[in-house]
Amino acid sequence: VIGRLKVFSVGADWFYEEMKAQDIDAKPVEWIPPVEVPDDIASILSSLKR
Amino acid sequence: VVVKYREVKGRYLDSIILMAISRDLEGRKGVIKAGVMVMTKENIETFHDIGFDLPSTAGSSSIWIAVEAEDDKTAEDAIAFALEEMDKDQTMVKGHKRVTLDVLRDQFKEGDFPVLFISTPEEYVAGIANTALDQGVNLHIFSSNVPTDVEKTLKNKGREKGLLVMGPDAGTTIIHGKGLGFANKVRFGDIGIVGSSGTGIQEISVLLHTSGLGVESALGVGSNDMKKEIGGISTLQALALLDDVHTIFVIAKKPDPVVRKAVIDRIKSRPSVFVSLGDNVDERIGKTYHTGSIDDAVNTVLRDLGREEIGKPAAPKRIASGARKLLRGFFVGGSLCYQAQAILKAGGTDVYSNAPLDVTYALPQDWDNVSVCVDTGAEEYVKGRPHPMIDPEARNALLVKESARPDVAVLLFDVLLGYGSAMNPLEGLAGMVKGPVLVTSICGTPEDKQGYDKIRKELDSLGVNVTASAGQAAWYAAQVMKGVKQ
Repeated sequence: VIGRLKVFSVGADWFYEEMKAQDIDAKPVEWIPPVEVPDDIASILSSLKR
Repeated sequence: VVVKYREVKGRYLDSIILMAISRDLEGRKGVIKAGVMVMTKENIETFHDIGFDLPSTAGSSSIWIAVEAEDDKTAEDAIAFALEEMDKDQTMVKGHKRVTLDVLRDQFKEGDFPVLFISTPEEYVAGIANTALDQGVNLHIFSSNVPTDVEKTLKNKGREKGLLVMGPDAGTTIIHGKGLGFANKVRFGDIGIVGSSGTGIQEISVLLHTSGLGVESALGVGSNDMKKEIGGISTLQALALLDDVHTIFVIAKKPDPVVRKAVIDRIKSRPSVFVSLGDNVDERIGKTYHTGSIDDAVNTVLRDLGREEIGKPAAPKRIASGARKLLRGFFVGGSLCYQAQAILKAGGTDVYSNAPLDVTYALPQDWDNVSVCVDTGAEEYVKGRPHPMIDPEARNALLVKESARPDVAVLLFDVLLGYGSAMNPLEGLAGMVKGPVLVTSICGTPEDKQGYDKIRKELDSLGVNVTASAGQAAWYAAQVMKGVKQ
């Protein structure tokens, strides 16, 4: 069973605004890209290691 | 003529804002062309494609402004304008303060279903998603082109933590009647939908609404979830979350047979439908109806509930003849494009596509003299611009251009309404020539913000045949094409 919807939105504000138009309990998320973008899959995968 | 570049380091703004700034720049007197983009690998190519070769120092994590103008002052003024627009307070969205990723856990309470909706460039998805999972948040990843290895790693991690990872490439989700991404305003009810096809979910939910039924939740699991590599991880989790609904729909494009079996095994003891979109299949497995057609799926449920089926269109009054022998299909919904090809093929018309049913019908370099169905939301059509569901201008320009051809028999297209979609999906279509047979369907409800009746009237005034479903529109086009000797 899905509980009460609570949304966070990162990226395109267009979608956040569409959420608010539906009175969704939503918050925009601040986010700035990291200084360097990993340019290969291996580094992306290593960033996922816990 | 001068060309000027400016790098703004350490900044991120979403592509829709930057596209709007680019357009404003191009509308300024003396500006010949302009581009403002976050520096990603794809956008370096996009800059190149529109005629800007960035300095070799251009790196990631910055925004680049490129302006070609009649003189130096005009270019500098344009850059100053872009900087001013970018400097508007970005810590707020329409008066709402942004929160940071690392405090998400403090923002929800027990009993909530927290979801992070991610629509950043794909390079950044892994890091953001990983942080959110560590914060106990479910994910809806709208971004596409995320590597499969990353998707699988995220989904395994989510499953271990009891969190649902919808996407990457998840266009549509509805939870308790509220839509994320591209979603229609549909009635709340006791039907659940799980799908790896965003527009497929939209079409099912709209047809159910039109027939008087309602949707409890529709969970978009991302286009790859029912492929062999991912194994249906999120589909199976999503189904577990929808155990309380009366009827379940599952929809997938080319699902892996092993995954499909596992999913059907999970749902076959309850009223359910599995749509293997575009496949030639029609069977019952336990209480599950397995079909390749959205219309058949919805009609089966309507029949089972003693309701009237979706009305069928009359045969076309005009069929292709003489020089008019080509079909042109231009879609904003990838799954509707895919379904149209299957219906046209069954009706005797083979079409080529950039998202073909099989590689034999991959869109050739020169497709001037063959029938085509083009997914205009595919990567090659959205470089440097928003998805055509948000900005339909480029798709509609194709329709206008092709309508003027004397050899086109039928123009087939889709119209998507709802949250996330453009306010005017018909923008620019007034120039469409009435030479070919024009046919479409509206994936929308009278409650959608665009105004269903207004859209319908405009289509009528353009001479477009409007059918009750996307499947019917493709069927209608196939009937028109029966006049063409294949």
